[in-house]
Amino acid sequence: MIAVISNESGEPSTSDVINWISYLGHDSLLLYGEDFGRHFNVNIAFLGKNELASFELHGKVYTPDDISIIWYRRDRTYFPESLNDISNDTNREKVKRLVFNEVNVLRSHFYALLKDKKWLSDPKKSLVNKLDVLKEAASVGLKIPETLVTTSKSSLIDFFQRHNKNVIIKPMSETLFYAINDRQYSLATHLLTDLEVESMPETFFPCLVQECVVNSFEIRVFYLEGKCYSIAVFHNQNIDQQFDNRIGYLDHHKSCYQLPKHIETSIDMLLKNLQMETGSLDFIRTPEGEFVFLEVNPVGQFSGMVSYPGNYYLEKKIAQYLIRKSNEEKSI
Amino acid sequence: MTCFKLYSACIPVRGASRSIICNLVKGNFNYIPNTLYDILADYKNCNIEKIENDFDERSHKELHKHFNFLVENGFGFWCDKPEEFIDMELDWDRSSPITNAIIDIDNLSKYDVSEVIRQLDNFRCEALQIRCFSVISIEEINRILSVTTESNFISIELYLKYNPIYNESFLKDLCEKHKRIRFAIIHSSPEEKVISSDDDYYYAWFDKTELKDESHCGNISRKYFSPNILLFTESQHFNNCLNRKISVDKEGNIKNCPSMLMSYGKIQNTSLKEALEKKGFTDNWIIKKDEIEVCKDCEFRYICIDCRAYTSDAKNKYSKPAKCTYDPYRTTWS
Repeated sequence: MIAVISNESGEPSTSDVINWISYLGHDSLLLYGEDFGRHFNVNIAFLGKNELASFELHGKVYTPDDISIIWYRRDRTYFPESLNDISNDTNREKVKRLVFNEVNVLRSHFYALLKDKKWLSDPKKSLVNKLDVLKEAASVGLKIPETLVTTSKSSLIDFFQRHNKNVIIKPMSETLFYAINDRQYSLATHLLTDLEVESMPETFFPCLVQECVVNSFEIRVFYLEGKCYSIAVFHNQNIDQQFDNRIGYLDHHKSCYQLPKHIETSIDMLLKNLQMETGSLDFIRTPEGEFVFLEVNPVGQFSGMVSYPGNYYLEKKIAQYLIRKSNEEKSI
Repeated sequence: MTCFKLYSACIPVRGASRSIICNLVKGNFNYIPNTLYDILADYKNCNIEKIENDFDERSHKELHKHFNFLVENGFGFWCDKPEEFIDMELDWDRSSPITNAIIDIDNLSKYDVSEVIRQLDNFRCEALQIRCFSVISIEEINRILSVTTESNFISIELYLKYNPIYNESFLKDLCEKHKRIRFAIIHSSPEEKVISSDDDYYYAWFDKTELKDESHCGNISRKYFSPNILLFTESQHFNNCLNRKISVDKEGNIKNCPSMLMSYGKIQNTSLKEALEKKGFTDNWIIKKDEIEVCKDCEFRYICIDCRAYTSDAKNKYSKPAKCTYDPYRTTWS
């Protein structure tokens, strides 16, 4: 059977893919990340040398043998509401950390039980190291923006001047979403100003800065099994949107796009080197016709950005892939 | 940048006397002359000089005016390498064997509506229309809708016959309790009034028109135009009203559409699944706009919903919808 691991909310593609699997005549098992602390009953018994594992979800009992392939999307941790009863902030954070760690041990052992199965997206590789990826991208021949990670003001100023003050700053890790007075914010890519550079202390916390690549348009690519499905995204003249396509992306114009063969070949090499069978990639196409690689997200969103506007039916293609691989696994 | 290109979801459609250009992502369209349609079709991926060379110098200004119009209205852009921008494939498919359904009810209906809804949900039906031709009680409405609380339906359209107890607060409560209600229409109402939630999540309105039976359906109007990818692509291959539709009419007959004559069994003794598998049920699903008389010459053909139940010639299943008053040759609505 095909298992799908996803968050309960904020994952529009998950139910679409599951519906396609069903429409194409196959069963699937949907496991929410949150289930590990909630609906998921697990029995893992260590009896001498043998380990007996079974799990129960919505009244049905499964063993790892029932699963042939896993499509991994996300696995958010569920925190019981009773944590809020702990009034001391420090203690609550500590208990929260404990809950997270406990779930994490169980979850990673559960994944280890399924380690011989076929996985589409490996949970261990769902958070890529952006610096590793940039290095790997350059090594397969993709052009990357000039990048500096520094703690020194003088290096930053050098870099800033060298790139004619066209320098962006962005997190090395994943973006952070936070709320102030009920409004949602996230860390966005930001164009550094003179004033910001000037006001930095002599040494500071490590920062990732990059030359701001002039773009004609951006390209969002969904990669699956050697094939690229691309969309060109044209930005409005609104300044904020030029550096972060998550801002107001509904207003952007999009168009189906065909990357040149050599770029697709490099993408294929990059994802093979990173051991990813699927991923979402961002490129900038410069006015000179160059393709500059920005990022790859192994579990990126593709429905609203690529699949629907391009009429690519990616959810159906993923379902077909999972069914085919599941059948291959069974026949081995 | 010397080449003009349309965004892939901006697709022109040629009619007998004029064309339209649709933006299927933003959901709008504009009229364009057929001469511009032909230029867009004949000179795909050509640069402006090549087009200019083929046209009289006096028309160059007009040509640029057209391209500027398309750029300013978000249908296209200038670029250097037009061949990079590929056409959108016009494939259509859905992951539900039945995507839309109609359930008709009047005071003589003797079937279990909740059971029909459960069966529809097993198909993962997305859109449901419930049309009540007689007054039904508030308890009955809630009983029917409660089945949809834990379901796959995305959109429910509710038609109720006016009853003084259906006041504004009742409608608000109903739509808030049953989040899947996209809109509710109170027909046969003494007055016309629109109610909507603050966030426009749902709306309801009172309408004076009386709906006695299914014969009110099949209207073709500009109001119902939907320039979106799903309808546009479905219309290329299938009948955009009947495809993947199943209905139960007020007498409990399982039909493709309540207004059609052919019944595939009574819901009291036939399941929807059994009816769907009967020979002929899906025959009309494949009648597409390009095969329908007059529609095939109409610029609106891929954004306008068809009707095969009420056609201008009952003997010809490819004849124009009877309730369409548009003449694409003269571009007039009568």
